[in-house]
Amino acid sequence: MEIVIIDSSVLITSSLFWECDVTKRKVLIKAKNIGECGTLFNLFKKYKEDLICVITKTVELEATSALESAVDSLLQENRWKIKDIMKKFSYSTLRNVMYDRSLDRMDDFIEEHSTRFPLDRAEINKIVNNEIEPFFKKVIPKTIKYIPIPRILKKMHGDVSGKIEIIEKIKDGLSSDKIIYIRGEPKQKDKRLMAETVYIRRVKGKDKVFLASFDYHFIPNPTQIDSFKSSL
Amino acid sequence: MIQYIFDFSNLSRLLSSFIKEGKINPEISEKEIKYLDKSLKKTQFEILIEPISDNQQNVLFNALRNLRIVIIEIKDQLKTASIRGENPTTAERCISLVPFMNNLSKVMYEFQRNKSDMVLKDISRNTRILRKKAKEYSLLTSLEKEMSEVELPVDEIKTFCESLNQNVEIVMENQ
Repeated sequence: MEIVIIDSSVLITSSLFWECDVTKRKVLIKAKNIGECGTLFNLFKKYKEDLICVITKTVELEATSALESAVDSLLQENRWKIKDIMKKFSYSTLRNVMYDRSLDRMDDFIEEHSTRFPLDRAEINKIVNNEIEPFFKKVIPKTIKYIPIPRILKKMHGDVSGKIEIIEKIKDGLSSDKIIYIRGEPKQKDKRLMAETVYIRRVKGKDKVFLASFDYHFIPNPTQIDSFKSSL
Repeated sequence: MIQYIFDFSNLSRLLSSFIKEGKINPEISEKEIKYLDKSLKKTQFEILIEPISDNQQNVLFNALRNLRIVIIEIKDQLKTASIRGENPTTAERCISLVPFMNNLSKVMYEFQRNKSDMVLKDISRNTRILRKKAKEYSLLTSLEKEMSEVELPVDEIKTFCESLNQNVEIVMENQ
Protein backbone atom coordinates (compact mmCIF):
# COMPACT_ATOMS: atom_id res chain seq x y z
CA MET A 1 0.00 0.00 0.00
CA GLU A 2 1.29 3.46 -0.92
CA ILE A 3 0.29 6.83 0.48
CA VAL A 4 -0.03 10.08 -1.47
CA ILE A 5 -0.30 13.27 0.57
CA ILE A 6 -2.20 16.01 -1.25
CA ASP A 7 -0.99 19.60 -1.05
CA SER A 8 -3.38 22.58 -0.96
CA SER A 9 -2.40 23.55 -4.54
CA VAL A 10 -3.77 20.21 -5.81
CA LEU A 11 -6.89 20.36 -3.63
CA ILE A 12 -7.85 23.87 -4.68
CA THR A 13 -7.13 23.15 -8.38
CA SER A 14 -9.44 20.10 -8.20
CA SER A 15 -12.21 22.27 -6.72
CA LEU A 16 -12.21 24.77 -9.56
CA PHE A 17 -14.08 22.77 -12.16
CA TRP A 18 -17.75 23.11 -12.88
CA GLU A 19 -20.03 24.03 -15.74
CA CYS A 20 -23.59 25.18 -16.13
CA ASP A 21 -26.01 26.35 -18.80
CA VAL A 22 -26.73 30.06 -18.73
CA THR A 23 -29.38 31.09 -21.25
CA LYS A 24 -28.55 27.97 -23.31
CA ARG A 25 -24.81 28.74 -23.42
CA LYS A 26 -22.28 26.79 -21.41
CA VAL A 27 -20.20 28.55 -18.78
CA LEU A 28 -17.22 26.47 -17.78
CA ILE A 29 -14.85 27.12 -14.88
CA LYS A 30 -11.66 25.17 -15.24
CA ALA A 31 -8.42 25.71 -13.34
CA LYS A 32 -5.07 25.29 -15.06
CA ASN A 33 -3.66 21.77 -14.39
CA ILE A 34 -7.15 20.35 -13.75
CA GLY A 35 -6.29 17.49 -16.14
CA GLU A 36 -3.42 16.30 -13.96
CA CYS A 37 -5.63 16.44 -10.86
CA GLY A 38 -8.28 14.43 -12.65
CA THR A 39 -5.71 11.76 -13.55
CA LEU A 40 -4.53 11.57 -9.94
CA PHE A 41 -8.00 11.26 -8.46
CA ASN A 42 -8.93 8.61 -11.03
CA LEU A 43 -5.94 6.60 -9.82
CA PHE A 44 -7.25 6.82 -6.25
CA LYS A 45 -10.61 5.52 -7.45
CA LYS A 46 -9.08 2.72 -9.50
CA TYR A 47 -6.56 1.52 -6.93
CA LYS A 48 -8.58 2.03 -3.75
CA GLU A 49 -6.92 -0.82 -1.85
CA ASP A 50 -3.34 -0.02 -2.85
CA LEU A 51 -3.19 3.76 -3.11
CA ILE A 52 -4.32 5.88 -0.16
CA CYS A 53 -4.95 9.61 -0.43
CA VAL A 54 -4.19 11.66 2.68
CA ILE A 55 -5.45 15.23 3.06
CA THR A 56 -4.40 16.70 6.40
CA LYS A 57 -6.39 19.34 8.29
CA THR A 58 -3.55 21.83 7.62
CA VAL A 59 -4.00 21.38 3.87
CA GLU A 60 -7.79 21.60 4.07
CA LEU A 61 -7.67 24.87 6.01
CA GLU A 62 -5.04 26.38 3.67
CA ALA A 63 -7.05 25.52 0.57
CA THR A 64 -10.24 27.04 2.07
CA SER A 65 -8.34 30.16 3.11
CA ALA A 66 -6.79 30.51 -0.37
CA LEU A 67 -10.21 30.23 -1.99
CA GLU A 68 -11.64 32.87 0.39
CA SER A 69 -8.79 35.28 -0.43
CA ALA A 70 -9.24 34.69 -4.16
CA VAL A 71 -12.99 35.34 -3.98
CA ASP A 72 -12.75 38.35 -1.62
CA SER A 73 -11.10 40.64 -4.15
CA LEU A 74 -13.43 39.77 -7.05
CA LEU A 75 -16.04 42.46 -6.46
CA GLN A 76 -13.38 45.12 -5.82
CA GLU A 77 -11.71 44.33 -9.13
CA ASN A 78 -15.03 44.56 -10.95
CA ARG A 79 -16.34 47.60 -9.11
CA TRP A 80 -16.25 49.70 -12.29
CA LYS A 81 -18.83 47.39 -13.91
CA ILE A 82 -21.26 47.57 -10.96
CA LYS A 83 -23.32 50.64 -11.83
CA ASP A 84 -26.54 49.91 -9.96
CA ILE A 85 -28.06 47.81 -7.21
CA MET A 86 -29.40 45.14 -9.59
CA LYS A 87 -25.93 44.58 -11.06
CA LYS A 88 -24.46 44.48 -7.58
CA PHE A 89 -27.03 41.84 -6.61
CA SER A 90 -26.12 39.74 -9.66
CA TYR A 91 -22.36 40.02 -9.13
CA SER A 92 -22.69 39.28 -5.40
CA THR A 93 -24.81 36.22 -6.18
CA LEU A 94 -22.33 35.03 -8.82
CA ARG A 95 -19.37 35.45 -6.47
CA ASN A 96 -21.12 33.49 -3.73
CA VAL A 97 -22.28 30.73 -6.07
CA MET A 98 -18.67 30.26 -7.29
CA TYR A 99 -17.38 30.21 -3.72
CA ASP A 100 -20.02 27.78 -2.42
CA ARG A 101 -19.78 25.42 -5.38
CA SER A 102 -15.96 25.29 -5.18
CA LEU A 103 -16.14 24.52 -1.46
CA ASP A 104 -18.82 21.87 -2.12
CA ARG A 105 -16.51 20.20 -4.62
CA MET A 106 -13.58 20.40 -2.21
CA ASP A 107 -15.69 18.75 0.52
CA ASP A 108 -16.72 16.02 -1.93
CA PHE A 109 -13.10 15.25 -2.79
CA ILE A 110 -12.10 15.09 0.84
CA GLU A 111 -15.02 12.83 1.71
CA GLU A 112 -14.81 10.53 -1.32
CA HIS A 113 -11.09 10.10 -1.71
CA SER A 114 -9.17 10.87 1.42
CA THR A 115 -8.21 9.29 4.68
CA ARG A 116 -7.22 11.15 7.81
CA PHE A 117 -3.89 9.87 8.97
CA PRO A 118 -3.41 10.00 12.75
CA LEU A 119 -0.80 12.69 13.40
CA ASP A 120 1.12 13.33 16.59
CA ARG A 121 1.03 17.15 16.74
CA ALA A 122 3.75 17.39 19.39
CA GLU A 123 6.05 15.22 17.28
CA ILE A 124 5.36 17.28 14.16
CA ASN A 125 6.12 20.53 16.01
CA LYS A 126 9.42 18.94 17.07
CA ILE A 127 10.25 18.04 13.46
CA VAL A 128 9.50 21.63 12.33
CA ASN A 129 11.59 23.21 15.12
CA ASN A 130 14.44 20.69 15.36
CA GLU A 131 14.85 19.51 11.78
CA ILE A 132 13.11 21.58 9.10
CA GLU A 133 13.91 25.09 10.43
CA PRO A 134 17.61 24.32 11.14
CA PHE A 135 17.88 22.78 7.67
CA PHE A 136 16.64 25.94 6.02
CA LYS A 137 18.76 28.18 8.25
CA LYS A 138 22.07 26.32 7.90
CA VAL A 139 22.18 24.47 4.60
CA ILE A 140 20.07 26.51 2.22
CA PRO A 141 21.85 29.91 2.24
CA LYS A 142 24.98 28.15 0.94
CA THR A 143 23.25 26.56 -1.99
CA ILE A 144 19.97 28.30 -2.68
CA LYS A 145 19.08 31.85 -3.52
CA TYR A 146 15.51 33.06 -3.16
CA ILE A 147 14.10 35.40 -5.74
CA PRO A 148 10.72 36.81 -4.79
CA ILE A 149 8.39 37.14 -7.78
CA PRO A 150 8.34 40.80 -8.83
CA ARG A 151 4.86 42.24 -8.23
CA ILE A 152 4.69 43.34 -11.85
CA LEU A 153 4.79 39.68 -13.00
CA LYS A 154 1.72 38.83 -10.93
CA LYS A 155 -0.34 41.52 -12.63
CA MET A 156 0.73 40.73 -16.19
CA HIS A 157 -2.21 38.45 -16.98
CA GLY A 158 -1.84 36.93 -20.42
CA ASP A 159 1.27 38.96 -21.35
CA VAL A 160 3.53 35.94 -21.77
CA SER A 161 6.28 37.56 -23.85
CA GLY A 162 6.52 40.44 -21.39
CA LYS A 163 6.91 38.03 -18.49
CA ILE A 164 9.59 36.04 -20.36
CA GLU A 165 11.57 39.23 -21.01
CA ILE A 166 11.60 40.10 -17.30
CA ILE A 167 12.54 36.54 -16.31
CA GLU A 168 15.48 36.52 -18.78
CA LYS A 169 16.78 39.73 -17.20
CA ILE A 170 16.52 38.17 -13.70
CA LYS A 171 18.26 35.01 -14.89
CA ASP A 172 21.20 36.96 -16.37
CA GLY A 173 21.82 38.50 -12.96
CA LEU A 174 22.05 35.15 -11.14
CA SER A 175 25.10 32.94 -10.72
CA SER A 176 24.70 29.53 -12.32
CA ASP A 177 26.06 27.40 -9.45
CA LYS A 178 23.09 27.96 -7.16
CA ILE A 179 19.70 26.28 -6.95
CA ILE A 180 17.13 28.96 -7.33
CA TYR A 181 13.67 29.25 -5.83
CA ILE A 182 11.95 31.74 -8.10
CA ARG A 183 8.88 31.79 -5.90
CA GLY A 184 10.56 32.77 -2.66
CA GLU A 185 11.41 31.00 0.56
CA PRO A 186 9.07 28.21 1.74
CA LYS A 187 6.57 29.63 4.23
CA GLN A 188 5.49 28.26 7.58
CA LYS A 189 2.63 26.26 6.12
CA ASP A 190 5.01 24.59 3.58
CA LYS A 191 7.39 23.68 6.43
CA ARG A 192 4.46 22.24 8.41
CA LEU A 193 3.42 20.07 5.47
CA MET A 194 7.03 18.95 5.02
CA ALA A 195 7.10 17.96 8.71
CA GLU A 196 3.79 16.06 8.38
CA THR A 197 5.19 14.22 5.35
CA VAL A 198 8.41 13.38 7.19
CA TYR A 199 6.36 12.07 10.13
CA ILE A 200 4.14 9.87 7.95
CA ARG A 201 7.20 8.57 6.08
CA ARG A 202 8.81 7.58 9.37
CA VAL A 203 5.68 5.70 10.41
CA LYS A 204 4.89 4.07 7.07
CA GLY A 205 8.28 3.82 5.36
CA LYS A 206 10.20 6.21 3.10
CA ASP A 207 9.44 4.29 -0.11
CA LYS A 208 5.73 4.19 0.53
CA VAL A 209 4.87 7.88 0.97
CA PHE A 210 4.67 10.58 -1.73
CA LEU A 211 3.63 14.21 -1.87
CA ALA A 212 1.48 15.56 -4.74
CA SER A 213 1.88 19.28 -5.29
CA PHE A 214 2.07 22.02 -7.92
CA ASP A 215 4.11 24.09 -5.47
CA TYR A 216 7.76 24.40 -6.49
CA HIS A 217 8.88 24.63 -2.86
CA PHE A 218 8.72 20.87 -2.75
CA ILE A 219 10.66 20.17 -5.97
CA PRO A 220 13.67 22.52 -6.11
CA ASN A 221 16.04 22.01 -9.02
CA PRO A 222 18.66 24.07 -10.87
CA THR A 223 16.32 24.75 -13.76
CA GLN A 224 13.58 26.45 -11.71
CA ILE A 225 13.51 29.54 -13.88
CA ASP A 226 13.03 27.58 -17.06
CA SER A 227 10.34 25.49 -15.39
CA PHE A 228 8.54 28.68 -14.40
CA LYS A 229 8.90 30.04 -17.92
CA SER A 230 7.46 26.95 -19.50
CA SER A 231 4.44 27.18 -17.22
CA LEU A 232 3.43 30.57 -18.71
CA MET B 1 -31.78 49.22 11.01
CA ILE B 2 -31.85 45.87 9.21
CA GLN B 3 -33.72 43.12 11.07
CA TYR B 4 -31.92 39.80 10.80
CA ILE B 5 -34.34 37.52 12.62
CA PHE B 6 -36.41 35.21 10.46
CA ASP B 7 -39.21 33.05 11.78
CA PHE B 8 -39.44 29.55 10.35
CA SER B 9 -41.91 28.30 12.99
CA ASN B 10 -44.93 28.58 10.67
CA LEU B 11 -43.14 26.54 8.05
CA SER B 12 -42.21 23.99 10.71
CA ARG B 13 -45.84 23.75 11.89
CA LEU B 14 -47.07 23.28 8.33
CA LEU B 15 -44.58 20.51 7.63
CA SER B 16 -45.51 18.79 10.93
CA SER B 17 -49.18 18.89 9.97
CA PHE B 18 -48.38 17.33 6.57
CA ILE B 19 -46.52 14.52 8.32
CA LYS B 20 -49.31 13.99 10.89
CA GLU B 21 -52.05 13.95 8.24
CA GLY B 22 -49.95 11.84 5.89
CA LYS B 23 -50.69 14.28 3.09
CA ILE B 24 -48.95 17.36 1.61
CA ASN B 25 -50.91 20.48 0.67
CA PRO B 26 -48.45 22.33 -1.59
CA GLU B 27 -50.67 25.41 -2.02
CA ILE B 28 -50.50 26.32 1.67
CA SER B 29 -46.73 25.76 1.91
CA GLU B 30 -46.18 27.75 -1.31
CA LYS B 31 -47.95 30.77 0.20
CA GLU B 32 -45.85 30.62 3.40
CA ILE B 33 -42.58 30.12 1.52
CA LYS B 34 -43.28 32.95 -0.95
CA TYR B 35 -43.80 35.26 2.03
CA LEU B 36 -40.51 34.11 3.65
CA ASP B 37 -38.60 34.39 0.37
CA LYS B 38 -39.86 37.95 -0.19
CA SER B 39 -38.69 38.95 3.29
CA LEU B 40 -35.25 37.32 2.88
CA LYS B 41 -34.73 38.86 -0.57
CA LYS B 42 -35.68 42.32 0.72
CA THR B 43 -33.02 41.96 3.42
CA GLN B 44 -30.45 40.91 0.80
CA PHE B 45 -31.00 44.19 -1.03
CA GLU B 46 -30.87 46.16 2.24
CA ILE B 47 -27.50 44.59 3.05
CA LEU B 48 -26.08 45.69 -0.31
CA ILE B 49 -26.66 49.36 0.56
CA GLU B 50 -25.84 49.09 4.28
CA PRO B 51 -22.62 50.88 5.32
CA ILE B 52 -20.79 47.75 6.46
CA SER B 53 -17.50 46.24 5.31
CA ASP B 54 -17.26 44.18 2.10
CA ASN B 55 -16.56 41.07 4.14
CA GLN B 56 -19.61 41.56 6.40
CA GLN B 57 -21.78 42.26 3.38
CA ASN B 58 -20.51 39.16 1.59
CA VAL B 59 -21.07 36.81 4.55
CA LEU B 60 -24.57 38.12 5.36
CA PHE B 61 -25.65 38.18 1.69
CA ASN B 62 -24.49 34.59 1.23
CA ALA B 63 -26.24 33.41 4.41
CA LEU B 64 -29.52 34.88 3.16
CA ARG B 65 -28.94 33.51 -0.32
CA ASN B 66 -28.51 29.99 1.04
CA LEU B 67 -31.60 30.30 3.25
CA ARG B 68 -33.58 31.35 0.17
CA ILE B 69 -32.35 28.57 -2.10
CA VAL B 70 -33.18 26.01 0.59
CA ILE B 71 -36.75 27.22 1.13
CA ILE B 72 -37.36 27.51 -2.61
CA GLU B 73 -36.15 23.94 -3.08
CA ILE B 74 -38.47 22.86 -0.24
CA LYS B 75 -41.37 24.58 -2.03
CA ASP B 76 -40.53 22.92 -5.38
CA GLN B 77 -40.14 19.46 -3.89
CA LEU B 78 -43.35 19.68 -1.88
CA LYS B 79 -45.14 20.66 -5.10
CA THR B 80 -44.04 17.52 -6.92
CA ALA B 81 -44.05 15.14 -3.94
CA SER B 82 -47.30 13.40 -4.87
CA ILE B 83 -46.16 12.94 -8.50
CA ARG B 84 -43.00 11.28 -7.23
CA GLY B 85 -44.98 9.19 -4.76
CA GLU B 86 -43.11 10.75 -1.86
CA ASN B 87 -46.00 11.84 0.38
CA PRO B 88 -45.21 12.66 3.19
CA THR B 89 -41.53 11.55 3.23
CA THR B 90 -40.63 14.80 1.43
CA ALA B 91 -42.12 16.75 4.33
CA GLU B 92 -40.02 14.63 6.73
CA ARG B 93 -36.85 15.50 4.88
CA CYS B 94 -37.79 19.19 4.77
CA ILE B 95 -38.59 19.45 8.47
CA SER B 96 -35.13 17.97 9.29
CA LEU B 97 -33.59 21.08 7.78
CA VAL B 98 -35.59 23.63 9.82
CA PRO B 99 -33.32 23.48 12.96
CA PHE B 100 -30.30 24.39 10.80
CA MET B 101 -32.20 27.29 9.26
CA ASN B 102 -33.13 28.42 12.79
CA ASN B 103 -29.49 28.17 13.94
CA LEU B 104 -28.34 30.35 11.06
CA SER B 105 -31.09 32.86 11.70
CA LYS B 106 -30.09 33.00 15.40
CA VAL B 107 -26.44 33.82 14.70
CA MET B 108 -27.48 36.45 12.16
CA TYR B 109 -29.68 38.01 14.87
CA GLU B 110 -26.64 37.91 17.20
CA PHE B 111 -24.80 40.01 14.57
CA GLN B 112 -27.34 42.82 15.12
CA ARG B 113 -25.95 43.49 18.59
CA ASN B 114 -22.43 42.10 18.23
CA LYS B 115 -20.75 42.85 14.92
CA SER B 116 -17.56 40.99 15.79
CA ASP B 117 -15.40 38.83 13.52
CA MET B 118 -16.22 35.83 15.69
CA VAL B 119 -19.97 36.18 15.05
CA LEU B 120 -19.28 36.67 11.35
CA LYS B 121 -17.22 33.45 11.30
CA ASP B 122 -20.11 31.74 13.07
CA ILE B 123 -22.50 32.92 10.35
CA SER B 124 -20.14 31.51 7.66
CA ARG B 125 -19.83 28.25 9.53
CA ASN B 126 -23.59 27.85 9.95
CA THR B 127 -24.15 28.73 6.28
CA ARG B 128 -21.82 25.86 5.31
CA ILE B 129 -23.57 23.50 7.73
CA LEU B 130 -26.98 24.41 6.29
CA ARG B 131 -25.68 23.76 2.79
CA LYS B 132 -24.13 20.41 3.72
CA LYS B 133 -27.30 19.29 5.46
CA ALA B 134 -29.38 20.41 2.47
CA LYS B 135 -27.20 18.17 0.29
CA GLU B 136 -27.55 15.29 2.77
CA TYR B 137 -31.36 15.54 2.65
CA SER B 138 -31.35 15.97 -1.16
CA LEU B 139 -32.58 19.54 -0.78
CA LEU B 140 -29.63 21.33 -2.35
CA THR B 141 -30.78 23.10 -5.48
CA SER B 142 -29.10 22.70 -8.88
CA LEU B 143 -26.34 24.99 -10.09
CA GLU B 144 -28.64 26.26 -12.85
CA LYS B 145 -31.27 27.29 -10.31
CA GLU B 146 -28.60 29.04 -8.20
CA MET B 147 -27.41 30.93 -11.27
CA SER B 148 -30.95 31.96 -12.28
CA GLU B 149 -30.67 35.18 -10.24
CA VAL B 150 -27.44 36.18 -11.98
CA GLU B 151 -28.83 38.56 -14.58
CA LEU B 152 -25.63 39.26 -16.48
CA PRO B 153 -24.56 38.67 -20.09
CA VAL B 154 -22.79 35.30 -20.53
CA ASP B 155 -19.53 37.00 -21.54
CA GLU B 156 -19.46 39.01 -18.31
CA ILE B 157 -20.06 35.82 -16.32
CA LYS B 158 -17.21 34.08 -18.16
CA THR B 159 -14.83 37.01 -17.55
CA PHE B 160 -15.74 37.06 -13.86
CA CYS B 161 -15.16 33.32 -13.56
CA GLU B 162 -11.81 33.60 -15.32
CA SER B 163 -10.84 36.28 -12.76
CA LEU B 164 -11.39 33.72 -10.00
CA ASN B 165 -8.99 31.30 -11.70
CA GLN B 166 -6.36 34.02 -12.00
CA ASN B 167 -6.85 35.19 -8.41
CA VAL B 168 -6.40 31.63 -7.14
CA GLU B 169 -3.11 31.34 -9.06
CA ILE B 170 -1.89 34.62 -7.57
CA VAL B 171 -2.94 33.61 -4.04
CA MET B 172 -1.21 30.20 -4.38
CA GLU B 173 1.96 31.91 -5.64
CA ASN B 174 1.93 34.26 -2.67
CA GLN B 175 1.38 31.53 -0.08
